[in-house]
Amino acid sequence: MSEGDIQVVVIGGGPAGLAASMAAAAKGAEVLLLERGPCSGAKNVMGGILFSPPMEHLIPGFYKTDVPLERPVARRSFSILTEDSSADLSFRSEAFAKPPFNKSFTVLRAPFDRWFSRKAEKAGVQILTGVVADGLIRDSRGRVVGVKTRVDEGADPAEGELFAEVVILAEGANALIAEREGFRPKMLAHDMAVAVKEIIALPEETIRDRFCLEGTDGEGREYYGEAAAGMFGSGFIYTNRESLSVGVAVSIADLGKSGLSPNDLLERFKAHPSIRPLVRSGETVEYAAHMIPEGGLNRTGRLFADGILVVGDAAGLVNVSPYHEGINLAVASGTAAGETAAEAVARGNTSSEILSSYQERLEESFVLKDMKKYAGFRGFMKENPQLLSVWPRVFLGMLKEIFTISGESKQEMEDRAVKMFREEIGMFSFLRTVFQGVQAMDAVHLEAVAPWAAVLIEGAKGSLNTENLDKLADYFRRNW
Amino acid sequence: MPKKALTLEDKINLVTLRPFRDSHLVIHDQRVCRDCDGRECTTVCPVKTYEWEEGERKIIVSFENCFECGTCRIACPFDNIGWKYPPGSFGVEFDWG
Repeated sequence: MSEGDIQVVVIGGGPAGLAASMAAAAKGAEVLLLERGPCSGAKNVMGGILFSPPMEHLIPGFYKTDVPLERPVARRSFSILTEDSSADLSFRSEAFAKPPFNKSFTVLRAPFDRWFSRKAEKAGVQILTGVVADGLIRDSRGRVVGVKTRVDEGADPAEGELFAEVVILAEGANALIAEREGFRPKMLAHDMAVAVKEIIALPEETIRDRFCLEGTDGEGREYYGEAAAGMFGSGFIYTNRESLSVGVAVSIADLGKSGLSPNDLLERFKAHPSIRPLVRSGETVEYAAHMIPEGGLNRTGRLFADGILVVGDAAGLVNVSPYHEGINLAVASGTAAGETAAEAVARGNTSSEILSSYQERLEESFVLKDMKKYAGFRGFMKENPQLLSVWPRVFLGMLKEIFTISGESKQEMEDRAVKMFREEIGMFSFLRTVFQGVQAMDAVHLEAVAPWAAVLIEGAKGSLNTENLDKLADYFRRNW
Repeated sequence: MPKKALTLEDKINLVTLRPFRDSHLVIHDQRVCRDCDGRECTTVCPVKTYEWEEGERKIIVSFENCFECGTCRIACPFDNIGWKYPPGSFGVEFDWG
C-alpha cells in the first residue's frame, strides 16, 4: 500500500483504535494505524476486566480463540473499608463460571493489546509502530485531511505528513490532540482520575484457595472508602491466572488536595488488614500507572467533524458510575467509527453530515445510552463527598457497635448505633442524598419496575430546592 | 516469610524505561512554581517526577522515570507544564499492563 492509497488513518493502537481499524478494514477500507509504542499494549494499563460483548461482535467466538484471557469473572465483590474494618457484598453465579462466562474476563493489557493488533493486521490493517502523532492537517476549509507525525529534529515536517480521507482519533485518556483541536473541553482535575497498580505474582493454587475459586474462575473486587483514603475513587483486586492486579484509582483533584502520592495510597491499601492477607507473600513484578477520563457525558465533546471521528478514552467515553466500564465502550465506539468511516469512504463523502451516523450508532448502542443514564453521577459524587468518607465510617461504626460482644444489653448497643447515625449523618440528610443519588442514576428504569417509586422520586426531585424541602425537613425532624 | 516492602524506586526499577535524550516535560515558567501553594505536581505523580528544590527555588523534572500518564499536566493549577509524548518507541514500556 503506497501512501496515496490510505483511506483511513487511525491514531492510537489501543482497543478503540484497533477495533476501529479492524471494522473499517472489514468493510473494505485501506487502513493505516499509528502506534507510538514499540507495539500495541506497551503504553497501556487497565485494572481490569474486559467486558466483552463488543469484542464478540468484532471477532465472533473471540474467547475461544488464542486470545490471552486470564480468568473468567464468576464473582464480583464490593467492599467498604474503614481504617480497621470492612463490610462486603459479593455475588457469584454458577452460570457465570460456564460459557460464555458472563462475557467478562480479567486481562493483562500488554499481551491482550498485542494479540488484538495481530488480529487487526490479519484483517488487513497496516500498523506502523514507533510513530507519534502530534496533530491534524486541515485544508483551507478546516476539514481534517490528515495527520502530522513526529519527524527527527531538523527534518522537513512535510516528511511526517500523512493524508487520508478519514482520521480516527483514538489517542487515549491523555487526549492531547483532541483537547488542542477543540474536540473536547479542557480536561480538569475533577474530570480525570489517576490509577496505579501492581501486578503481584502468586501461585495459581494460592489464588484459588485464597479467593475461594474453583478451576480457572476469577473474581473482581472493588473497595471504597478508606481504600482511596475517603476520596472519589476506589481500590481494586482482580485475579489473573498467576497474579493479582492490585491498585487504586482516584480523582486527581481530590488527590492533589490530599497531599498523598498515588504510591502512598496503594501502599496504604495493600497494608489494610482486609487486603494484607490477600496479597501476602506475593512478589510485585510490575508497577504501572494510567489516567482514566471520569467526567462523564457532560465532559465529552464533539465526536465527529469533517474528516474525523473521535473514539474511546480520547472522546471521554467511560461509564462513570458504580459499574465503572471503559474498554467495552472503547471497542464499541471504535467499531462504530470504523464502520462509519469505511461507509463514508465508499460513498466518496466524508463530510461531518455523513460521519454524523457515528453518533447515531452510539446513541442506539449502550455506549451513549449508558453515558446519558449516568450523566449526573460524577456531579452527584462531587456534591456528596461524605458518601465515601463520613458514611463508610458511620455505617461500619454502627455495624461494629452491633457486632461487638460486651456485657451490655442489645438495646443499649442499638441505641448507640442509632445515635451515631443521627449525630453524624441524620435521617434528613441521608434521605436527601439517597433521592439525589437515584436521580443522578436516572429514574427512567425504576419507573418501569416500580411506578410508585418513580412518583416518590419525582416528588422528591420537585421538592429538592423549594420550600417543600423545609417541610420535608421539619417532618423528619419531628418524627426522627 | 514476609517480603520486604518495595520502595517506589524499587517499583520503578521493575519497569522498562528508554528515556529520550531531551525531556518531553517542560516547566513553562519556574517563577509560577515559586508562588504555587500546593505544588501538586510533586505529589500526584505516580513516579515522583517532580521535586521542589528549595535551594535553587525551582522544580526539578526527572523525566527519565515518566510513565507518560499525564496526571501532572491535569493537576497543575497554572497550566504550567508543557507535555508532549516522547519520540516513537522511547519512554515507558509495560510488560503486563
